[in-house]
Order: sequence, then structure tokens, then C-alpha cells
Amino acid sequence: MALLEIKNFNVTYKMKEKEVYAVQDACLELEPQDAIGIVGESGSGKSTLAMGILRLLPRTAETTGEALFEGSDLMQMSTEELSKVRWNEIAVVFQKSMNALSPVHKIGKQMEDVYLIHKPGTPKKAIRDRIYELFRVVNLSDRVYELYPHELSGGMMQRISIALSLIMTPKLLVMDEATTALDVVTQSQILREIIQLQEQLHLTRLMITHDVSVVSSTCNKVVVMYAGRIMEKGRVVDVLVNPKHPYTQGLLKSFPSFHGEKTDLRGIPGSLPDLSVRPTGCVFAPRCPYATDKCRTQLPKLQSAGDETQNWQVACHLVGGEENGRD
Amino acid sequence: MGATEHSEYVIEVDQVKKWYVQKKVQKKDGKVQRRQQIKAVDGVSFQLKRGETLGVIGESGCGKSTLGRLLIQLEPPTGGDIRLFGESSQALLKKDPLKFRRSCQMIFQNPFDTFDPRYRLKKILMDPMKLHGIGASEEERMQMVLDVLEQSGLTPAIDYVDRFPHELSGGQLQRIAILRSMLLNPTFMVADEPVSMLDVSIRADIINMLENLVKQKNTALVFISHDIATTRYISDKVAVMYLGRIVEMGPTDEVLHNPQHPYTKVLISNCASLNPLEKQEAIAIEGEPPTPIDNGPGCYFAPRCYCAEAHCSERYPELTDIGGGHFVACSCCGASGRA
Amino acid sequence: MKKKMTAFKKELGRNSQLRTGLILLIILLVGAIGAPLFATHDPFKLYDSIRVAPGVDGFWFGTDNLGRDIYSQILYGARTSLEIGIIAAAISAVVGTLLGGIAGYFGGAVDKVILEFINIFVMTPSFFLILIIVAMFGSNIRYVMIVIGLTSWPGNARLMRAQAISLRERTFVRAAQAMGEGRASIMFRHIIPNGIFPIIANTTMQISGAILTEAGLSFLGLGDPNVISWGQMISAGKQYLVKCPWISAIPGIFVVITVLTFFMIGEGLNRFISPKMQSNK
Repeated sequence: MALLEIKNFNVTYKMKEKEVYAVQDACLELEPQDAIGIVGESGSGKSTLAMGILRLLPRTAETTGEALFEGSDLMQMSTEELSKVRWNEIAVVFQKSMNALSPVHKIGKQMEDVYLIHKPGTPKKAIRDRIYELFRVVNLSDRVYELYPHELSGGMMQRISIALSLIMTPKLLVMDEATTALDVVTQSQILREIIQLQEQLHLTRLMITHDVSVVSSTCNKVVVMYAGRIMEKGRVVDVLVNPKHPYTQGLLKSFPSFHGEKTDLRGIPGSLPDLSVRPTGCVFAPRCPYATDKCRTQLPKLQSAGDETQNWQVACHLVGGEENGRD
Repeated sequence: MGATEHSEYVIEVDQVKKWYVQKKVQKKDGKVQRRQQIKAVDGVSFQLKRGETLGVIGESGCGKSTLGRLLIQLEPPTGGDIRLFGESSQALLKKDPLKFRRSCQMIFQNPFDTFDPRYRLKKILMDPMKLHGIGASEEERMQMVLDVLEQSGLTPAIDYVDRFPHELSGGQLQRIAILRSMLLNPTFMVADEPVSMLDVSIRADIINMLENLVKQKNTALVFISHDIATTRYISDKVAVMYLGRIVEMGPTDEVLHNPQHPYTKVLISNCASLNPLEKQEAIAIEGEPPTPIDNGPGCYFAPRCYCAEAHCSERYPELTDIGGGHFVACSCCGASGRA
Repeated sequence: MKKKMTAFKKELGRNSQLRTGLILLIILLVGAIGAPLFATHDPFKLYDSIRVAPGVDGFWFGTDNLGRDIYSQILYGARTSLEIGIIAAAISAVVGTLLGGIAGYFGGAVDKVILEFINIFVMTPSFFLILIIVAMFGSNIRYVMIVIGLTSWPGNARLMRAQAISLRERTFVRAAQAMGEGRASIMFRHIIPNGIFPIIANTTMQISGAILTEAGLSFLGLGDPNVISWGQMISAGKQYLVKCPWISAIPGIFVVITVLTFFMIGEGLNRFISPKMQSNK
């Protein structure tokens, strides 16, 4: 059984004058110990989708659809049930989660407090041992326990955030641009640690990022989102090597390559469509070089591309079943 | 320095330094020091010819943005010399500030904040031209603005000039920022992370536009970025900075595909590839760059270096040519150790 | 600009404080400007009916100890109060904006000198300074305005300085510098226009303060005897507070209403500005 199954998930921001369709019709399955990366540019709805599942969106957002976590729908849970699942079962690391720490208390004390909220009455010694254990998992020295947040560097803070998210040994770890603000060397250090950690703790991981290289180096599956819709999803070795959706192709071409010849760098012309207007056809059609009349009038559904085992799905009229001979 | 307008180089940077004074610093052993020098840029030298592009890469805090601001005199340097066509830029700024500003331009990181939110684009674009006496009349200036907007694909241009900055997307704003600078026909330009705040799919167009304009107008460009692949795409030469100093510099492909300095190697090996099948072994090092205070007499990178030797912490290695204009400041690797 | 106007109109619908304040201000302004039209009597004339209660003998608000019509005096006094309030606050806004802007934008030694100057003014008890100046130069209403203006600018200067310090770091200010704009041009074209909103709100509230200060001076007998002012009217009635309370109470009520009016506008503007500033980022 899938650990998390998202079915027909929609998020709409209700504003005074208009409605913004931030996520539309998203379907996604996370098998245990998967590492799924959701990539997309700003406005693609990748963060909204994740926060929607965890019910962390502001009140102006209206969500419909199901998000089944181990069979029970997160959307239908009462607040008490939900708070049991959050952090205990599903933990989140944000881009700036270090801002959540109080500047006037020691790191260790704050971590103890988090532990006590979830498991009141645990003896101090046990908590302390658990925290030291977590420090070792994320490559921090025990000394950090006695430090204040301002004494840590950005990379150390992000490690603390990860340690904090693991404190209750969750099954699912959601990382929302968790390494974006870090430098390449630090980012790569932390990503390496996360991969090791996943193996050790048998975690399932959902990475949300705009950086395709992060997904390619740390995930086994990828979901490509654009303007609130899933464009393409499948295994990293399929989607990022031979992308089938024109958007994925365009996105990958937009990254200058580091190796080989300096080929012409090509972006995707145009800009993100207005999300408050429901498109009649494919959301990418206005920017797509291959768009046909069908693309402009009919909404493409996610269809299987490739064979059964690949579980590769593409939402494009031009990629139907096996007949994807177009370049 | 008797060089005049005929100097071969557009810009010559000679041991330029920027030290900030920080008051009251608590050191690791608990002692409080009253005044401390933060050496943001600590002796950087390079030269650029017309039409050449130098990419400056490094992690945050390595002083690359400070260097950019020093180059166009947004801040005065603490020491060293920057010469434009052989003439000291500080003297130029004093003698004829408008001429200096016209010849040195800068593109900033945040396109959403580059323009005063209170003015329309036509005023934003035409005021600097007026200030520098470009175009004889308002009509002529307007026509020039419309022409460059059309050429860069912002069509119909007449629709854009009456808008306010917040009505445009980041990509459009950054294009306009580049055009505004280019309207002044600068001979030297600094671009400080010009695409890092933009979405990937529009970055390429901005980079291409910048590259075309620079080539077309034969402008020397310093392109500051933390993104090695983008830098490789646009630059003729690359300089790698660590804690305020250039550790390696040379022709782009030479430096990036045959790196000599251990730091450059670390930096490059840690850039993940887009292709999941090309797994490369990243060189792992500990920690993060420290604040540049009291870096010690030795190589600044030595404490984190994976191949440091005892002599590395004694003397800072000179930036030495190891052939073909490839400079490295390391006493352990390449030819520099023997030189 | 158009956009700002529509936003302002929308805000008026929501922000009852601002709306009430503006309506009251319009009433006050109409009353002050049209004083000769609305007045039922000559405000300076001494009528035979002395200290009559409101409503008696056709005197709507009664008469004072010398037999002057309080209603007509209130109308003419509104002119004085508004004039003093607005001019004094305007002086304070101009001086505060300039000095604060220069201090914040230029920084360094200039900032230190101006900051010390501000501190000196903050520490000086301004009411006593005003008393001394009035005692020395006489109680001409012009001096009073200027003196109130020149002692109340430090608040504005501090606000503007804070604005300038944060605006100085914004990219568009650096970009203007890189474009070759001079310091004065950057200051007047970018720093001040973008940082002026809190000053406007604060200045509106300072109008209240200036009106109160003038009333206080007049109450102490240091007002300009050649003009009618609410403060002097209150002062005139102070001996008859028990027997004829309306002489002091009516102008008193008007002082309170006027102060409240400007306070509401200032506070309303503050609310209009601050959330917008945050959402615009």
C-alpha cells in the first residue's frame, strides 16, 4: 500500500475579486521509502500542494480532494487527529525553518521542549540521549546542545531543523526548498547526509525544489509541475534523461550544461499564465513550441508513457501511449 | 603609470582591498575584541580587455559582491588601485563623475527592487539619458527607448513605457535594467548575480541578451555568480574567490575542466548534474567558510583543505601562472609549488 | 497615482476612523473659511447682555464676561487654531524631513552631528522654551507658530532618518547612484518621496499637539491679544467656571473635537499605510 496517496487534489485561493487556482487535479502516490522530488518554477503550485496536504495553508485557501496517509484521509481528520499525525508521522523542513527557533534560548533546551510537547513526561536523560543521537545523525557535534541559534552557520541551522524534524522518527519527511538558501558545497554535504539518513531510518521523502539537479542527485522519482498542474511524473532516470513533455524538455534545456560543448542556451519564451483564469486547453500551450489546436481547446490528462514497470505519466496530447516518436 | 587612453586594458585592478571595521566582536575563547577588520576583499588583481567577460564565482561571503561594488565605485576601496584605460577610477570619479558613471554600469541581483516604485518606466529609462545628455530632445530619447525595447522583444514597446515597475515580471524588469545600462554605452559593466532571482526558464533569455549586447557594444563585463554552469556559458575567463582573494583564474574551460586549486575542485565536484546517470564523486570537505577576520599568515583555505600540508599554514601562496594564463594560488598543486 | 486614489477610496469605506476624521475636518474647514457667513454677531463687539446662558437673547452659545457672542467667536477662533496647527506642523515636517533625510542617507559624521542635535531638542522641555521665547519677543501669533514648529520636528526627523537608513540599502537607490545621479537628486527624488508616508501621518497628529500648545499658552495669558483664539476664550472664562461654565466649556469642547479630528486622520492614515507597506514587499 502506498504511504501517501493524493487523489484529485485542488487548492483554490479565494480572494475578494478573483479566485486563484493554485493546484489543480493533482494525483500522486508515495510508496514507502520513495524519494520523490516535486520540481517547478515559481507559481507552479509545488509548495501549495505540499502545504495543502499538511493543512498548513491560510484560511483563504480552499482544498478539495483526498490525501490518504496510510489509508486515512488527512483532509477529513479532526484537529486532534491531525496534530497526532503531524510531526509524529509527517515532519516538515522549510527553507528558513531556523527562523522558528527562539534567539534567546539554547538549541538543546528548545529541542527538549519540542520533544516534551509530543511525549510529555519523558525523563530528561532519555530526551538528552535522543537529541545527542540525532546530532550524530546530522553530523553535528554534541557541543551544539549548549549553543544559541545565532552562533550557528546557515548549514548548521538547517541541520538542526532536520534533526528537529526527525525527533519523533516520522515516516514521511517533507523538505520544502530545505537546501535552497545554502551554498553549493554545504548543500551537497547536507544532501549526502539526507540520503544516508533515509537509508538508516527507512524514511519516505518528499522534496520540493526549483533546482532540478537536487532532484536528480537525491531522488528516485520526480514530479514536474507547471501552473498548478502535474505535467510529467515518473522515475528520475526516465524523466530527467528523456523528458517527454515539452515543458520538461524546455526546463532542462534552460539549464546551461557544465560538461561538453557550449550549446545554445534556450529558455522557454513567454511567461506563466494568469492562474485566476481557468484555461480551456493545456496550461502550457501558450508557451509550447509544438502546440496544436487540440492543445488549445482540450485539457490533456495524465497518460501512461513507456511500459508498465516504468510508471511514467505525461499530460500532453502529443505524447500518447507508445507513439511518442516526436523529438 | 603614464598610460593614457591607449592602454590595452579597459580595466586594471591592482591589489584592491575592502576592509570593514566591526566593533565589539566576541571571540571563540570568550574574549571581547574592541575593533576588528573584516577583510571582505583582500587584495584582488586582474585585467580585462574590451569585449572580454570575466566570471567571478565563489560561495556567499567570499567577497564577490563587494568586489563588484568596488569596481564601479559604489564604495571606495580601502586599498589598492582600479584603473580605467590606465587612469585611476577614483580620480576619474572626482574629475568628471557623470563621465565615470556613464562608462561603468552595474546590473543588480534583485530586478524587483532596481527601479523606484513610484515612477513609470518611461521616466525610469529616459531620466538617466537626459542626465548624461544622450539624445537631443524628449522625442528623440523616447524614440531611442522604444527602439531598444522593441529590439529586445518587449513588444509593443509603447505598452511598456507607461507602466509601473510592479506591473512587470522579474524577467521583463531585468531586461529593462540591462537596457537602461546599455543605453549609456558603457565600456565596462558589472553584473551581480543578474539571474539568480529569476525562474530557470527565463534565465536563458536574459543571459543571451546580456551576452549579445556586451559583444555588440564591445563592453568588458564582470559577471558575478555562484552558479558555475551559467558562468561557464557567458565568460571568457573565470576567477574563483575564497575569503576575499582570487585562488584560481584563467580561461573558462581551462579552469573549470582542469581545476588545480583544491577549493576549485571542491566547488566544481559538488555541483550536481542534471542528468541522474552522470554521477560524479563529490569531494567532501568539512564546515563552511568562516568570517574573514584574522585568516592567518598561511593559505586561507588550508584549515578546510583536504590536501593541506604543514607549510600551507605558514605563508600565503602567490598567484602563479602555470601556463596559458592559468593562475593558481596554491603551494601544493600544479607548478606553483616549485616556482 | 490613479491606483493610489482608488485604493484610498476603498480604504475610506473600511476605515471608519479615517472617514469620521475627514468628515469632521471638512466641517471645521467650512466653518473656519465661511466664518463671516455663518457668524450671527460681530465677534469683537461687546454686547449689553453679559454672561447670558446659551440660547438666551439670540446668542446660541451665550456670551462671555464682556458680552461677546461665543458662537461667532468660536467660528473665528477656528481660523486661528487651524492656522496655527497647520503652519506649525508644516514647519516641523519640512525641518524634520530634511534633517532626518540627510542624517539617514548620508550617515557617518553628518548623521552623528544631526542625531546629537535631535537629542538636544528632545531633552529640552519645549513648552518652557516656548514660554521663554514668547516672554522675550512678545506674544505675536506668528512667533508662536514658528516656535511650536521649530520645537516639534525631532519626532519627524527620527522617523525620516529610520526610513532613509532602510531606503539607502534598497537596490533602486544604489542603482540611481550607479546611474550617476547626485546625492541631492537621490535624496529628493527617491529617498524623501518613498519615505514620506509615516511623516504625513505623524504630522497630522502634530497639528493636534500644536493646537493644544497654543491653547495652553493662551490659557496662561500669553496668547496674541489681537486675534480670537479658543485658548483665550477658555482663559477668559476661568474666573466664572462655577457660575457660568459655558464660557470656558464650549471652546474647550471645540479644542477637544479638533484635536480628536486630526488624531483620527493621522491614526487612520497610519493604518492605511502600514499594512500596505508590508504587502507591497
